[in-house]
Parts: sequence; structure tokens; C-alpha cells
Amino acid sequence: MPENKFKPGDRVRVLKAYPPGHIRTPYYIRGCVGEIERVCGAFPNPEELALMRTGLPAQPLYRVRFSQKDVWPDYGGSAADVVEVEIFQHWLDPA
Amino acid sequence: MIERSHHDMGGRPAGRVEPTEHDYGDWECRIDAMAVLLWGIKGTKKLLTVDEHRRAIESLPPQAYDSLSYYEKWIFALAQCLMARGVITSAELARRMAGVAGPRSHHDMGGLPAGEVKPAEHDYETWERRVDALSVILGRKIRMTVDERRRAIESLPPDAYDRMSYYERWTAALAHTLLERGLVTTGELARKMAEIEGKMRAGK
Repeated sequence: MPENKFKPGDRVRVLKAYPPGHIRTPYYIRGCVGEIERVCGAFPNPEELALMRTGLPAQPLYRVRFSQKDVWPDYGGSAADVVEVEIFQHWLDPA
Repeated sequence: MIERSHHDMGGRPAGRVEPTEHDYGDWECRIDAMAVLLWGIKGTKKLLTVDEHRRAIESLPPQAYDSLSYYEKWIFALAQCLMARGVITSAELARRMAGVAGPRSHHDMGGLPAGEVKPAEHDYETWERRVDALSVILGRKIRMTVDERRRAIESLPPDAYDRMSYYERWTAALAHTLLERGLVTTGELARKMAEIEGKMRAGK
């Protein structure tokens, strides 16, 4: 199983890439910088499961917290508002 | 259901056909060469059939199908086929494509206006319960994964995706998955669908 590269509190940048396929990383969050909120565990890679393969080794999954103001340029709410997205490790780089 | 595949446009207006030849760019020649190698006709390992490639081209969302040039369609479809065969993974492709702008999948609509959400519960009809039950059974019997179903749903053409109800999407996705797994053939499905259509018509 791949090692966990990140721990809670680490700043990460979501890979800004648009390959075809069954991608569980939402379009709107790609390229954004956030902070690891927690490690959710490790799960078979859905990109591979979707193609009838095992998705193994299981990939670490993180809940990543983003400031709403960083995600939406015209966000009108409080500066304290956040959005949390669960993202697999292979979509994250250190920021 | 989806009546006509977008690419299957025989008899429809399609604008003027320009019969002039043009020079191919290097990238176009490269894509063509890559396809020839993948077909395995030069002694290389066969990693692609023409029909796999065609099917991937025909599965492009209509907007992409109309806006992409010939070899742009080829390269998108080659990527799909190589992922389906397990030659490359979407993770590898994502890394290589980092920074290259790309289209949003139609279903991936976070942040877009989507109208009012009605939170009321409703009773499920018998056919909806059957589709749900069938999914559970296929999950156990053939280990059909949630991600296979999601992928099939996300691959629906945008207009079908918007028009279909929740379990209509599931039904289309189940059919897609069973075809992909080789558990039913397109021919069998075509016969059965024609038979049911006939019964429905007779019943009216």
C-alpha cells in the first residue's frame, strides 16, 4: 500500500488536470490549495474500479479543507466558510 | 432511452462537405502512427481494435464530437481505450496532462446553477425497485462495483443525462455494464428491446 504522504494540517494543492475517465476529484476543486483535515483511510482506486480492475493497492484518501473564498472568486459569504472534499492522494501535491 | 447516437447522423443536415485535401500536422501524423502501432499490424502487440476505437469516438459527448477535429477525436478515444485496457491509468494521464485545460464532465456540476432541489420523498414504482434490486444482485453475483455504475452514468450523453430520471440512468448504466462485461450482447439486447416495444404498442 502506498505510504501516506500527508498528515492533518499539511497544505496541499489539488492536481489541475482533466484526463478522461471516472474521476472522483470534482472539476471545481482542481488546482485549489487547501489543508489536510483528516486521513480517511485507504480505499481501492475508483478510477480503476470503474474499469473492472481491482483498484489495488488501496490509495490513501484525505478530507481536505478549502476556504470558500479560495474556491469561488465571487464568493459572497463569510471568510470563515469552508468546503471539505475527500480526495485521493494521487491527486494531491505539497503546496 | 437514447434513441439515436449523436454520431449516427445519416440523413440529417450536416452542412457543406469540403472535399479539398489538406496537409497533416506532425501531431496528426503521430496520432495516426500510434494507432497503427496499437493495432498490432506491424508486428507489435495488439492493444487496440478499430471497433474499440470507434466505440470510444462515438461515446464522446455530442458537444465534443462536434467541436473536435478528426485527429483530436482520435487522441481522446485512444486515451479512453488505453485506460480501458489497463495500458495506462487515469492517474498517470492526470500527471502528464497537469496544467492542460480540459472540459468539465457534464455530471460534474459543483458550483453551477441547477435549479431548485425538492427535498420531498416519493414512493418508488415497481420497476424502480426492480432496478435497485438487480443492482444489488449484480453487485454480489458479478462484483459489479458502484464505480462501474457511476462511470456508466457519467458517460451518458448530456441531453440524456438531464432528461432521464434517477433510475432510468441506473437502467442505462446497468445495460452498459452488462454489455461491457460480456454478459449480454448488443444483439440480444436489441431483440429484447424490440420485443418489449412491440408488446407495449400492442397494449395501447
